[in-house]
Amino acid sequence: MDSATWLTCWVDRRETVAVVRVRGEIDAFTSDDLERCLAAALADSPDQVLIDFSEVTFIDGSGLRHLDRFQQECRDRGIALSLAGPAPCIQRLLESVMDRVLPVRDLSCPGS
Amino acid sequence: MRLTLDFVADPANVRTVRKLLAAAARIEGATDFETFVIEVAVGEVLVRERLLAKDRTGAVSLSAELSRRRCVVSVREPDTGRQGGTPGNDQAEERLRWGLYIIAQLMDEVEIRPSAGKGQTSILRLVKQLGKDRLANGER
Repeated sequence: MDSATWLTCWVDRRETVAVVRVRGEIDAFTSDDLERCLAAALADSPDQVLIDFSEVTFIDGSGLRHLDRFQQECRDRGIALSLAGPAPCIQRLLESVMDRVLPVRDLSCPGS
Repeated sequence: MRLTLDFVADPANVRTVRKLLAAAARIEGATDFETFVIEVAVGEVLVRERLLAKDRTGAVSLSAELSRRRCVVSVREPDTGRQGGTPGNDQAEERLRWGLYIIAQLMDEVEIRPSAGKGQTSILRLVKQLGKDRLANGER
């Protein structure tokens, strides 16, 4: 079973907003796909990046590390970053582990 | 409930074993978050064993003891022959440190019992107290 079976991610662009859609499990064996997708989201220098976590069912240290680095890169480039729809357990995990908690937003209005 | 598992830490087995431990914790009454934390911590441990394995096959011997009150997971670690037990690759060493950080943030106790001598295995032991969330929610 390849990593695509466990994790799918792609970027939707809405004007100056890049929406990163993530579906599946982010672990040591799939997190490189997430890293590539996050890098692709910055390709057109968006004003905002929204990561849609509503269909993420698992994330481990590899995924958290990529999120942490991406958050730092967005901050350095002045890009607003937020997370949408994380499951309660994942949100609690992020709050437990990450120094800087990502703002969580309503998925229905990513450009607002 | 007691479990003893011997397996190779390939991606499919890592996923199966971390979900098995999470399911066992659930059977013992762990809350959603406790179950999730155990799955994350066990996954980190197994990735660690894979990184530490000299031959990269990542043979793992894991035992677990679960009750309504706590979950104890012990893993025999290979003797890498290097102080600190790290594989000597910057990226892998950073991954090992980050993995231990995650485990330490999530579990109540983390202990590495060093090997008794050359060629012996050390033991990584994790403990998660269960039921704190139940008590916080007013459940018994």
